Amino acid sequence: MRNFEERKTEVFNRYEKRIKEREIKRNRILSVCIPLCLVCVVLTSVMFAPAFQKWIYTFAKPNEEYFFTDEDFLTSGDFFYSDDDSLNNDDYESVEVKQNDKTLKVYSSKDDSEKMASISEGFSELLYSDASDVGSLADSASPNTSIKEESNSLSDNTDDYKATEYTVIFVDGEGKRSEYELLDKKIINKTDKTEKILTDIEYAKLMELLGIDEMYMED
Amino acid sequence: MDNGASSYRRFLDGEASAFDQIMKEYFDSLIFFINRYVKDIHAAEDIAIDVFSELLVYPRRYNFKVSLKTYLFMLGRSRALNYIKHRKVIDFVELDEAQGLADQQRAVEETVICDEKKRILNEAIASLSEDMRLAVHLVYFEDLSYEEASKVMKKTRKQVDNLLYRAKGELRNILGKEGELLL
Repeated sequence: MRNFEERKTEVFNRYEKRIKEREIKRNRILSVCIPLCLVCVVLTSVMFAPAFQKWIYTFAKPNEEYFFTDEDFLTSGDFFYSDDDSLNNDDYESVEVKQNDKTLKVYSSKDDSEKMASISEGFSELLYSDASDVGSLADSASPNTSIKEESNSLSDNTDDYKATEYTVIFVDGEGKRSEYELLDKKIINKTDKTEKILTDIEYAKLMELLGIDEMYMED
Repeated sequence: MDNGASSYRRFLDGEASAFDQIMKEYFDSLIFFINRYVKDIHAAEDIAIDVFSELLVYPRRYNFKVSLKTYLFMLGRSRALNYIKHRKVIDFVELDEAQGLADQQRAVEETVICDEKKRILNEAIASLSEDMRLAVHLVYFEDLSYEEASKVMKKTRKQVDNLLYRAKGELRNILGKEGELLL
């Protein structure tokens, strides 16, 4: 057994030893952790930078100037619209247009690939374009204003007016269907339940794309 | 009586002699307590030195919510259990050496237990179970409260209460009617 002084000396010796050990441990941790953290940050930024660019692109307004160009964006390996199957023009085999369950038109990629492309492209633009911008376009004077006036006058004058319901069905090569419903200028994506109210100009453009002469149909 | 908290506060304020005072006051008690677990007086002394060095290495860990004595005993207990867990080889000692160890142990006991009654009690509690022995030790030898003893033993107050109740019953059987006067 030690006497008091020996015990005290031993306590202080162990204290110094432990303090030194603690410093060594701390230095070792720092020397390992700092490079490791740097590597992690670099890896994370490399992995998530394209996704982050995509995110910015989603929320930024189309007419704003971007920090990166569209070309950079497209070459970054992942294109925003590619997430949505319904908007990939090349996949579709046919488009069927129905009016109140009655088939009006059927377009097939074999017969008219250009038309198919323009329809799906038009749908993409209409569904995912910024509403405020389209609205401002609609407000400005344009030759299509006459269509708006005509359709308004038609709806005012007809007492037994009933909204015409159109259904547009895109079918891809694997038989997967993407269905859109057009009801009184409201376009509804039945797959993801998104909807958008079209301006008169957009509506007219869409009718033109689908090859529907609405005036003729209603007469 | 604050069981060392004020001395420790003075030590934190930079008074070096306060640490000596704490050591003088609690070192032997701590060895005696740890020896109840490890049953090796040298190992107990070594663990006690470790406990005090820990007090120096992490001076702010003690938060004054319990008495310093309780805190030291809590550290001592956990280190003693750790020592037991890692002691894989049972050391064999020579008979002469064993005699020396017993003397040293007795010397520590004598410094901690000055009272003759307590000495009789100390011999009697050897036949109790470990938990009961520890509870009796903390409450009757170290004068800790039931709450403090429960913190050191990591048990509830009720459990300590029960242990002591049962320990008293067994001690009554061992010591006879004299035992009741000791408790």
